[in-house]
Amino acid sequence: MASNRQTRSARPHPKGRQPGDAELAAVGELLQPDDTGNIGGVHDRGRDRLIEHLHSVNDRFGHLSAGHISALAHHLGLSQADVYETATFYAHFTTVADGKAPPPSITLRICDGPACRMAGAKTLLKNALSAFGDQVQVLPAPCQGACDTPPSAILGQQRMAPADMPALEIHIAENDTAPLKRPKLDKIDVSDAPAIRNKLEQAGLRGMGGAGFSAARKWAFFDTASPDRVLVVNADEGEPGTFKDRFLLESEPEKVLRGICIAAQALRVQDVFFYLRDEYLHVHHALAEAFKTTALDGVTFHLRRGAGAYICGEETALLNSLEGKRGQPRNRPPYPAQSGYKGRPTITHNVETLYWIADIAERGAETYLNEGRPRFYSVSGRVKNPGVYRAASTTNVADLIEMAGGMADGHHFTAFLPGGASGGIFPARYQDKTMDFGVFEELGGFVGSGALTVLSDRDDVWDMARTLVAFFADESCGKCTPCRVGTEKMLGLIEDPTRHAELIHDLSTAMREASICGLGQAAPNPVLSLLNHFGEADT
Amino acid sequence: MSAPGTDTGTVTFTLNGQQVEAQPGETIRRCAKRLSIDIPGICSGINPHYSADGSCRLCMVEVEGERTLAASCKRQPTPGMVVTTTSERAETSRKMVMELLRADRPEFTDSTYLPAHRFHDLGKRMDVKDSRFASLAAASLPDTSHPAIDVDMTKCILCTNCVRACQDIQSNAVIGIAGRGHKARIVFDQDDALGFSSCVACGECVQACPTGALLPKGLATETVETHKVDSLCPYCGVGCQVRYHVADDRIVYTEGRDGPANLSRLCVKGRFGHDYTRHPDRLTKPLIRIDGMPKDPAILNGGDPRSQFREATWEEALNRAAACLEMNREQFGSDAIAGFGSAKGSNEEAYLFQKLIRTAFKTNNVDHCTRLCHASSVAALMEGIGSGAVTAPFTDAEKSDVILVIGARPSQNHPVASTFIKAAKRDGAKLIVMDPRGQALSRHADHMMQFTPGADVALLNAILNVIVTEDLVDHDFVADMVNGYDAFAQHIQAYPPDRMAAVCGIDAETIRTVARTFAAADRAIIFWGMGISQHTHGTDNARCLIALTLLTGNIGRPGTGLHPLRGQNNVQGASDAGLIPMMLPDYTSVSDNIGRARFEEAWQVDLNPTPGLTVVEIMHAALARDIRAMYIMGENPAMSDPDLNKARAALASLDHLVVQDIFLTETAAFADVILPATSFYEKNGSFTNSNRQVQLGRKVVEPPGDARADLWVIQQIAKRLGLDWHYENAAHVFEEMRLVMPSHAGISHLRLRRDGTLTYPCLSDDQPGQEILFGEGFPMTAGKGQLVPAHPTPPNEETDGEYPFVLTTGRLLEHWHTGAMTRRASVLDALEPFPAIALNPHELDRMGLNPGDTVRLTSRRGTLSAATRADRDVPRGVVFLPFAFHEAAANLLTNPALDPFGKIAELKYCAVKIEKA
Repeated sequence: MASNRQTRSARPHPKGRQPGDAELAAVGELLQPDDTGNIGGVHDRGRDRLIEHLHSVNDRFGHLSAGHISALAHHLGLSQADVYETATFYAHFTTVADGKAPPPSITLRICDGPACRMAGAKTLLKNALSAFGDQVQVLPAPCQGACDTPPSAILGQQRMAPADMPALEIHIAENDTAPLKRPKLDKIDVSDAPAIRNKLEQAGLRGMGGAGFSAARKWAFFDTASPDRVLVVNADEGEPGTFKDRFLLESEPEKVLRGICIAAQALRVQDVFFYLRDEYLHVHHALAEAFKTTALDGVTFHLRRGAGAYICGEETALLNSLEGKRGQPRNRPPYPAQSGYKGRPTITHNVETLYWIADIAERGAETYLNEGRPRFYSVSGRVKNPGVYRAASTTNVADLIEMAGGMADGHHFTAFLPGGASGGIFPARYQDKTMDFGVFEELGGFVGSGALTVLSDRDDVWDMARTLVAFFADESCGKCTPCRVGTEKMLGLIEDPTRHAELIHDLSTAMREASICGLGQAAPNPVLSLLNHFGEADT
Repeated sequence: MSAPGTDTGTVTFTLNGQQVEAQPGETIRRCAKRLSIDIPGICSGINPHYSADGSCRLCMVEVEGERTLAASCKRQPTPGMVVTTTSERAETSRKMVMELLRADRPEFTDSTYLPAHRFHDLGKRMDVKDSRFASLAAASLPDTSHPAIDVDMTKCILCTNCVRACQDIQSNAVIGIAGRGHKARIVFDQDDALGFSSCVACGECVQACPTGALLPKGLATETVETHKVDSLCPYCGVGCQVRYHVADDRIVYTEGRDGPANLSRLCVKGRFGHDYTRHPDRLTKPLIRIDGMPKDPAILNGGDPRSQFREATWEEALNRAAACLEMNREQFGSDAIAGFGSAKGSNEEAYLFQKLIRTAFKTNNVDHCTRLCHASSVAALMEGIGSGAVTAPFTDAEKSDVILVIGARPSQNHPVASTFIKAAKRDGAKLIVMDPRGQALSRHADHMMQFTPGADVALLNAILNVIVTEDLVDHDFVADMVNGYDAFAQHIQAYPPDRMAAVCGIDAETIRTVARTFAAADRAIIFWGMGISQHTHGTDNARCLIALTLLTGNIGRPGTGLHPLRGQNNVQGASDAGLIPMMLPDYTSVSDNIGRARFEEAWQVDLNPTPGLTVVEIMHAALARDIRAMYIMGENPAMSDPDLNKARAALASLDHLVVQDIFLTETAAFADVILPATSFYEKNGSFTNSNRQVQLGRKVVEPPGDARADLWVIQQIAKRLGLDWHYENAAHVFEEMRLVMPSHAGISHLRLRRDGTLTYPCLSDDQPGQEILFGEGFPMTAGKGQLVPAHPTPPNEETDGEYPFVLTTGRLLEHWHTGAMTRRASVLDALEPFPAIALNPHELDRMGLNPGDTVRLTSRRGTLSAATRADRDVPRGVVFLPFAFHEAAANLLTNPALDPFGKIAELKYCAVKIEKA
């Protein structure tokens, strides 16, 4: 057994990469103390804030070099692998290996979601690559939640939708990449939170993130929970075609915040974590300011950035992300209400759910019920006026298209996605189905977050399916076999769906039944719904 | 949501149509396995100490009423749950998962390494031979950069057993998962080649990998039939149980066994450090010094010591060895003879060796390397609590709230013990580390206190001062169990943190915080090593630690206590067996007339009532020609003793030196007769680890050439000295030991063979051993422990303008003791082939040196040169050099000044200067 080392001499350094003084100093300067003044020192080595720290370094340098990562590990008392695992999981961190030239420090992400594709995002990407490829890092990106104004792009941290070449050129030339901040929020009055518990039960409010779980039942889990309770606000809206949470955070952020405060008080939590998808940085500043001025007895607010991972919209993946880890879902049970953030009892609500909690608290359950359990639908694609529409849960597909001004000029309605990428693709003949929980399930789909994407005779449904399966393959966390390997294999199979129909069905069954979380379970939906519901007449 | 039947009784549920009971906390898969129902699975690790990941999805089962299948490795049954493992739905799903896993894998290649067969075998068992999916995997080149482990990630199925092995089990976190989705992959550090990563080569991942993606080097292609031998690791005091896979009288590979001290874990030495036993340097024939050949220490400076000797028959060598020892005794008296036994030998060897010296020569001049290790700790412990061994096993760290590690670097020197400390920290315990040098535990520590070298007592007294002055004392415990409180409380007033801060280099506020943290713990445990003991104030250091536990009542309960980490595999057992100059077996003082009489009766011989000389004293006596002849079994004082120039001159001055060893060590270079002995792997015997666990080492391979078992050699010498001994084997010796050692009375060899391990004290055949000692009081007057004040004293030799650096010595992870074994183990040698003088990078900069440049290191006693290493863990003003390298023997420089109580030398502090070479 001989060593493969070419020269035999004493090691001049201890094993492994040693951080240099310059990197230690540069990274050390960027580490921000947490809410209790800790950078990562004595009490909590700072792992849970790892993603925030990675953002600090990546924002500053435009990338994370191997030296940055080892310096960060050194400062936080972590191993290099601890940091590298997390850094390489999230799309918004650019890791650069030793000896490799870093990419341009500014990144331009052009949306590759369904609505943006329909609006010519692929051409924009191609043009941007050839025009700016040497000045900025141009990348395709999953849905940026701007399906109402496609095509969307994010330059640095600035959202641009609709984006076009002239605008991009000006912004790049002027290095105008900072997020456009939203106005300051009105002060939230939390002194007298209205009673909510009974109203919530009466209203039958269901989770608006997609799963549709009863909010009141979720709360009941806390009846026997230990006092170290946590409320998590899931603002990681990533389901392609969904932008209603962004809309609410832009248009009625105070009401969302009231919902948070009402829930936090009713649930008697000690900490509130607001997990904001990194694409929505434009509301970050206003939220951060609002949390500073909102004083709730015994409650600490924490605002955290996501980092470009669709999977973190999944509740348990989000919890791992809050802990500074890879956003991989957990096996359940235990449920988060028993053991969530760092093992503490945790309830997670979607932004819109909290909006309705405020609404029900303030206007009563009866009004909510009388209005037909309203919700905010994101309508996009080939409609005249894409946008967010507040409508009763009993609204059907045709009604929503009507509300959105009908089909866009020159487009003939052929198919639709009732629930973003996950909810399946259905032919136009199902247009009288209501966009409510439990309806599309019978057809192998669901409405989930209420994202209706409308397709026309100019769209190829198989092309759409391929796009969506590729999206799932990219966004799979990679933890469980059916999803990690299955999404990739599915991509190959749907090159020739008829020939592989049997294997597609077998694979889909295993993915639905054996994947850990909804991503893998729903990933075959676009393909299956096409195989099951589309005849000659439908395409 | 339903609360699983966690801690409260069993759960009745239906499994494949049968009503069954699950144990509390048991998963469906564990329960099924217990009932002999096989559910496939691969991501649940390799033993029950691993948490199942629940990610491979090969163990999916059907739970009635649920939309999806459930991972049976994670799911716990609830009352009334109806589970089917054999339904078509579940089986189809599992087979599809297997098909997906097989899709991108290369053809299975047979390997001798059986753990690598698990995934392949599972596929066969599930009847999934092929995959209908096209392979999309990009070919990747094997990574052969590491001396011990070969990596071929094309075989990887991402079961992540290696990740949990590295992150959870060994808590090293070198292995991680990078990327996501189908691009997720196993990486070392930051996608680094393994050989250039921070990997410490514990090999846990290799043992955990079910595919052969990670293999012991060289086993990728080899296929030989192996047989298994269950034994132990020959290195440190942790006492890991090891399974050796052997073919053609050669160890092919090792696996950790589920022993109480290691729970299947091993470190680089235990797993990969075994081939020294087959090294060409092994002594295979007795050697006798050529007549007239002078003994010159200069031979060690690149000379050929072997050329001084001629081969001899065993008969001639034994006759010469015994006759010359006997002649010296007759001529110069009993006390002109001394023997060094070894902490690397078995209990039986230690026992017979000391019995030989004491009965054949009537002297107590018998000692071993404990004198260079924990003699001062033992002195303080005997004085403070009446017993020199640990009061609790290191595994109790997992029951502690606060863990204090001082003057110990367990991640290097007791790697498997450190895994329990790191896991305890991860599970919520507070970890306080005190060491002038940073170390692998630093990043895990809540408080990493890098204090001024040699200022241990100042720091500890300051902490004790806070505990007394802030009244954090456990007064009930002190009233019931402790003597000397008032005097101690008075004494400690003189050491307020504000005054001690300047002495020890730790600010007063940190000292207060740490004192409060320690005192507030419900259960606190203290670990220490040579950093405490190897000082002229080593006993004082240990006294302070004992005071800490006594004042806060942290002893005698699970998760509390005092644990001096033992450096060698049998340093505990050798001391127990009486291989020390002042004690007969079982710590019976030689000057205790009643105790001695018991041995005189048992051994049918009169014994010398005067304590003998200790290791360093024997060297001094040899130099003074008071000691004329020595019998050294397995020790290497020509490397391990302080001030080697003197120690070597002392050895050279002996009229007669018999060395029994496996290699021609630096010590053997001064021998008159060299007796080729057996390595650990070549004999049977019992060994006692740091936890007081007595365990069995079994013969794994045959000795080379004409090397002979040590027990046989000792008896041959004994016979020639007129002793009428008839021990047939180690078991026979052990049975005699338990007759004369009440603490071992309950440990029959039969029980040892059956249970594999027993903790002493174990007083009778029907008792389990006592893991936690002194819950009912100490073996002292009135059962009370004794507080002993300690005053800070400066190191014996201080730095000055000429010698401005402090030299501290110790071990490396790879090199153990004097390097005789580890430097001849190919993997360990490849990992750390040469000596390196470790310095803070800023000191190198200051001197205009680059890492790797050669420098000359000189103390008032000696000089050497070696390459430098830039190491941030070393504070400025300090130099670290391991003592395992003969070509730069650190002990040429060290100070032989002794601790007055433990007679241990100040190996952790001497003044040196550094010059460009």
